[in-house]
Amino acid sequence: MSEATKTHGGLAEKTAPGPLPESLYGDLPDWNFELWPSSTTVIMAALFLALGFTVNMQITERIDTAMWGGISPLWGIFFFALWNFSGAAFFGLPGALIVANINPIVANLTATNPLAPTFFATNTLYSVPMALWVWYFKRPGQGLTFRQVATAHVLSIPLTLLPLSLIHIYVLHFTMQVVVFWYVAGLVFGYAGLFVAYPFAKKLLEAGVIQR
Amino acid sequence: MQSLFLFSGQDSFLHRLDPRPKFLVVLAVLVYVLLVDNPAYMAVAFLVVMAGMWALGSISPARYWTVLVLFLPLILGVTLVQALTYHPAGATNLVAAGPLGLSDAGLVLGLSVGVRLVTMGLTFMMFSMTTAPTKVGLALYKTGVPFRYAYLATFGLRFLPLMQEDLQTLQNARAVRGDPDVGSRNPFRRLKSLPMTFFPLAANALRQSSETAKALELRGYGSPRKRTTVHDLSLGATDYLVTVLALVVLVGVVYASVVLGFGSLGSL
Repeated sequence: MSEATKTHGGLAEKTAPGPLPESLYGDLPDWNFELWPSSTTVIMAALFLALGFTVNMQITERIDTAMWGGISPLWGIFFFALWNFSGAAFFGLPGALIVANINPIVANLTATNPLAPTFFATNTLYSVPMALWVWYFKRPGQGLTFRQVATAHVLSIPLTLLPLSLIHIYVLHFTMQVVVFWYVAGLVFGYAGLFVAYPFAKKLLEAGVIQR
Repeated sequence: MQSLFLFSGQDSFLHRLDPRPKFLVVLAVLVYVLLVDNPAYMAVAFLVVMAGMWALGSISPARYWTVLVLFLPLILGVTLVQALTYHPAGATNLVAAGPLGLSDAGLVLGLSVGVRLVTMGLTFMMFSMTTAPTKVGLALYKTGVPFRYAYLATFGLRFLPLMQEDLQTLQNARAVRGDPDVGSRNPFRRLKSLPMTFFPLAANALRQSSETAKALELRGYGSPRKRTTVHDLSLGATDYLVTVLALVVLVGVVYASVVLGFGSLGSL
């Protein structure tokens, strides 16, 4: 039986909301969470997640460029929670900051996108609040529920899109309707990303690669 | 595997310049192109950066034009959006089809923003083509970032190609097992295949991380003592001179643009 399945009198209780499958959206199992861990293992683990994030963004950046000229990194926003949520939830604030900021350093050094400096703010405004939300929600000996993670995600995504909107207003000089259009599109892609990021984090926990 | 990084590995004034004043130069150019709206003024900045790279960095446009071409979709996209949506009073439609029209004012604004983006991209390229990736971490350390975090930039840049190879290996393994989505020309099918490839990538990387952490600790990574480095960065007279010049340009541009209205769309 999955660790995410609670039992009452021998009967399994589904913890995933609504029709969502239990194996993907059931409760996250418990892990050892610290808001500010300082061990080298944590720093290295966060760095490797950051590199995975960078590799991921190199692919989605090309697809965003092919689809809408890269005006807004919508597929990047869809996938970025995969790495930023895991970094923030498993490795606290250092993990959040490392995962969020290594990718923009590489993006700037490879000069792949003239808007790359924005990514420092974009990533950080998601990952730091997520680390704080996990610290707020997580109780010792318990994991997190999908609803808790979804609440944190839904509240953090609007923040992450603000720097992009500022770039659209002040650098690209878009009209307000266009700015709002890309902001709403970003919200849709960002919120949809939760349905990939949550099972990703759950599988990482179940695979035993995160300290429990 | 071809290097992702643009560092040209030559010996020139820009290559010898410390990354810190070089970053200030990048900042000065960025502030200029962000405060100025007139495409002619921005084109001047573009030409100055290009000439500077050639004269002071021995890097001709033939070395990087292929990277600049990658910005074209963004520039075309922005210009199209501006032409379709920016219709100030007095603007005329150059092309119209039903309710949609491409305004002349929108095209000029789009062109202006396009030159801005190319200049920004070229300025970042100037930095990355003349700065060794290892010096980036060292510069962070010298500016006060703790060694254990500053080193991550250098470390990440060293490990990124390995991560890319791991991803390629995973995708090849899935392809030979008959997964039709890997390497598909359909972007949606490629996107669908990504999360399933990223999970083993992340899991393997996290397993490796504890071994790497032990190896680093054995080499004194977490030591609180002040570190020395084989290659050091120290600011010389030229670096200080460039710093002062960059700051003067920075303040001058802000003053000229904000107070005197230099570089607005109607100023030429």
